[in-house]
Amino acid sequence: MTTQTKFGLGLLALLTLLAVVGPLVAADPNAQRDLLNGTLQPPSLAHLLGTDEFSRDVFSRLASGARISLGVAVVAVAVAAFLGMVIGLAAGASDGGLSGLLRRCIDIGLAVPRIVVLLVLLSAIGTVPMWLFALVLGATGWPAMARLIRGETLRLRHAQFVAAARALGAPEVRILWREILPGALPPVLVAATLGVADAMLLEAGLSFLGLGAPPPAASWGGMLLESRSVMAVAPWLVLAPGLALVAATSAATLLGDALRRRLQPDAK
Amino acid sequence: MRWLLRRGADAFLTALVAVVLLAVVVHLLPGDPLAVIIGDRETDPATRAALAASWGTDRPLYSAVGHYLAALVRGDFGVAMSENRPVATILLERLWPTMLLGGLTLLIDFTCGLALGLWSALHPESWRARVLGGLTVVGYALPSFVLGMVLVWLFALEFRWLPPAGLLDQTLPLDASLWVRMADRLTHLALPLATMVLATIAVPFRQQRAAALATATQPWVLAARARGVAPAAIAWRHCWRPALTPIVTLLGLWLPMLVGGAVFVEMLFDWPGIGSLIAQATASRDIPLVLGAGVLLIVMVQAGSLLADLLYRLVDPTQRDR
Amino acid sequence: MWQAVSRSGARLLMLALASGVAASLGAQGTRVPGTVVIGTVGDPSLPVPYLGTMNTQNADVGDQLFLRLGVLKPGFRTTGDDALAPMLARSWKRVDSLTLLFELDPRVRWHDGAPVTAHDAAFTWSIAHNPKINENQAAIESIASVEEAGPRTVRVRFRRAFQEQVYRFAFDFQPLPSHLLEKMAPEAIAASEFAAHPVGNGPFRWSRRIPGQLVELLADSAFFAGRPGIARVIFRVVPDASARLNLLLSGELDVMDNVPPANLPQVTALPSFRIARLPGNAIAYAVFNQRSASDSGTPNRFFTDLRVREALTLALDRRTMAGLVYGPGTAVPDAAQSLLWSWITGGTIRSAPPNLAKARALLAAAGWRDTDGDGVLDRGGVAFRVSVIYPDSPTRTKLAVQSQAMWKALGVAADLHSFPGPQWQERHFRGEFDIDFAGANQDASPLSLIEAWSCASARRPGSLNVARWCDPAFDQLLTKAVAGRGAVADWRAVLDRMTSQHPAAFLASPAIVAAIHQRYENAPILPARQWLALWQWRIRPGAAIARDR
Repeated sequence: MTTQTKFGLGLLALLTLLAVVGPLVAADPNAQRDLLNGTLQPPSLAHLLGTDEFSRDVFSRLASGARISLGVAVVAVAVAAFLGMVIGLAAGASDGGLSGLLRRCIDIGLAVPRIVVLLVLLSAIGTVPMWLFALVLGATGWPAMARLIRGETLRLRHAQFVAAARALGAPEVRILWREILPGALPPVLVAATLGVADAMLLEAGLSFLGLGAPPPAASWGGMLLESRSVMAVAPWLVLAPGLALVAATSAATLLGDALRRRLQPDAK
Repeated sequence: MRWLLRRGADAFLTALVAVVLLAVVVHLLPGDPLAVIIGDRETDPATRAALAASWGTDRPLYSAVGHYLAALVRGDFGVAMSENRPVATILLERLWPTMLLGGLTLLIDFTCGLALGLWSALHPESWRARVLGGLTVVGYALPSFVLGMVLVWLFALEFRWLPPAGLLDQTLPLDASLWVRMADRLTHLALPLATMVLATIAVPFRQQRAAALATATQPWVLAARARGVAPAAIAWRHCWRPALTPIVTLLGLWLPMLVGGAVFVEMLFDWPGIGSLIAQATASRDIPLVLGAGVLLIVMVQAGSLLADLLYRLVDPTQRDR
Repeated sequence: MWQAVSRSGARLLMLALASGVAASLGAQGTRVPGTVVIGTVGDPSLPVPYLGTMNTQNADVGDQLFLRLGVLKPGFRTTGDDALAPMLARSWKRVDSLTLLFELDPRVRWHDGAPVTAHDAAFTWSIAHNPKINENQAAIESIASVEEAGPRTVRVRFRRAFQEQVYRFAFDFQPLPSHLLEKMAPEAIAASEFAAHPVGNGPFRWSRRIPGQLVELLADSAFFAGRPGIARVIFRVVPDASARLNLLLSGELDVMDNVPPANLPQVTALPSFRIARLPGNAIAYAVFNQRSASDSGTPNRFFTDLRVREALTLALDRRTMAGLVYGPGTAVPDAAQSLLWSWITGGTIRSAPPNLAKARALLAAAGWRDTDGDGVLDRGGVAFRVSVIYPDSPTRTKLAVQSQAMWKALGVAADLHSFPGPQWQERHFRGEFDIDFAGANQDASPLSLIEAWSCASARRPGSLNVARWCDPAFDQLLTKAVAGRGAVADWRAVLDRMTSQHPAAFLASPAIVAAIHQRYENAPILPARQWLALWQWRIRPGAAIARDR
């Protein structure tokens, strides 16, 4: 295990702890403690990360934001992986027209900036609940995943063990399910881990544009949006969610790299 | 030539399908598509009727989308709801600042990013390369808007070295010397450009390093090294060119990412381009404007990758006639 | 008169207000060059009255280009024929209860040299009156006609007698040059060369517009009331609030008329800016819907009860909230009363202090108790859970989030739903809410209470009375005040009745908190139309900076 991997695992452990245990031990993230004298307090023993403009405890909000930000990212990646798997498998396993059509779809999906699609979609829908937000985020992330799986499927279709299964008379669907899919999983796992970083960045960015979870929910991007105007007065309000975001995305990138080295030693 | 035609048709088709999909999405959203376009603004029946006609929302889906495409071809992007002006006019006004910022980012990313990637592949064990590698992980993980906020805070508000926002100082006297104007442009460019570059350079850097690392272990490089060819010459002759190949594939990935960066960075620095326009239009739920800006960004990304492809083929003779 | 707080401490600053007979600055002999850079939230793409969307930025630029017939005097009373000071109109006289004659000042000229005539006014009326061009017909609804009654005499007829006829016409009406526009089809003006390079008659003339970036105006040295003290005005487009603040902090903007309270310390710390507090025309309130949030046909199950409305108001620490959101010392009213209307209550605005115990008792008396122990009150199996909407601006968000926490302490669960402005507005007008964090920029006139709170407005779809508030006793008092001769006691009775009925929790009557660069002296900012007196600004001798030259 390299230093980088250890570092990534450490970050992941910390963030998981924050998301799972944080909200249990920390106070109510939406409680306004003292609007008169308690706003924009710098970090102290009472408030580890200080308080925000509403005198709410920033640590509590960071912890409950971890659940939102990590949760949305994981759901989004799961949705993207599922869609990508279905489309990618179909594109790789089918022949002729359908295969070409699906390949085209994947290429187009890759060529369109995801942020543009998301902006058009979210601004047209209006305010969305968290689950729908995660779903939309995932539904725009499938092309990269699909391309990967299509490639893997094409490679595995002609592998010896698949040919053997086919020779034994296994139906094509069963071959896809039992032989090809498991073989395609390692790169999917790598891509999904890296995809979590992308999804988190997108979630934060869209929340930063005011398209994310409505207040008083504490997503990290939303916290950044709220604190932007008071950055010079209360820098901890930006640093806390900003560093958390960097930690989470770095962890995902480092672990993705590590997984790649472990699962696909031959890949570049 | 045949290649160019095919590649061009390819790019065109991709852009077309993407635009159609966006239009279909807007028309298919739950609720009346006209209501989505109007976005709850106060409108009288006459305006509503005019909007319904110009967007074709009173027709079946295929006809409405066809209508929109036909209008796009004529350069008619509809009318922005928040400003009551043609979307096309607004987009044109915003085009060149985006081209300037995006073009410079591209230039720096692809010169410095590739050079650093190559250098770090040639010195994989040096501490500088390790630091560089770590920094790019952070750079990739750091959202552009957080980076931009920190840079503004430090360099514009704390040290007061650079202006916090805007394209140039419009209050400069008209007879200001060329140097003063150049300096003004550069100081206004510094922060947004730095943010854009830092947020995007990780992609070409990592790609180039990986490619060059793979090339560095190829027999012909080892042979060259054994012959005692100078490292710089090896780098140029043997690693640089072969490693360029994946760059073209990379562009497809990297240009959309540039657009994402542009939305946040332009908004943050009040850069009057397409990116900040789409952010503002999103905030005011101006669907015709969001859609128009989206269409333009898609076309720009396609045109950009086509152009890069073309240049690459001109530079690399081995790619010709394929 | 109001307080202007400077960095060195509070000191009273006499601010000369817009009055047509101000001392001519040109008479001082030496011309003082100067620049004012103002940040705007949007692109002033069509700053001509009546032609385009009259958003703030278009109106702000239009104010410099096109004169009004009269301007508000200090005190901002809007009733009576002497409410306004002369501007484009030199004088006016009353013919009968429905007719007024305005005499235009013969010294006023269009920027191309042509004189301003009564024909311009009549022509402009034909534009303003055309619903295809001017969307906002409601604003001129009370005016029947505007005609030429002589070369410089304008006859205005009203549809009905009311106290604010002079204010309603002379303050809102901005003539356009008929000699440039008459030959065009009215619908074509908005896309014409004139719209791109407007020719006005105001203190500043058009210089240039760089789309998405700025509009530049230059002083009209021939301005009839004296050459402006500022040579150049730049409206710089900065849509992003934080970027706007950063530009102010780095000295690229010269003035900001709405400094967020959280940033006040930062601005105050800069030696180059002083802070001025001016009376504003805004109010913020949480209005209680009288109809059901989901079905406008049925009454609201919570808020038809006066005790409940009063309890929810008393549960809020409004003074603290207003202080945090709008700045310390912000006035909190008990009725719909902006600072402009403080003359009704003797110059100050007061409100009842919070009283959680009384609020609890009121709710208990109304039958709301927490029988199932879940922390939320209930009655007959229905939980006290209300749907709250608000636009996603920082101030309203703060008010809503703060209130939510305070109502929670009372046992009232408030589900917050924020929307971008247009989306919020739709729900606001449709009445799809239990509580709405609304705000209003009140007309300088208390007559606007009719449009927002009367029974007649409650019956009219699309009116400002979104909560369908109707109190016959209030209407009677209002009718009396409108018909009367503007007696202060009558208006006070109107507001007192509103106070006792709690149609909304009134949260704040915020002041305009402006940051003004120290190098300006005599820099008045007016309520409602902030930059109307910009031409009276001037640079303190010797204080000019690079961009002033």
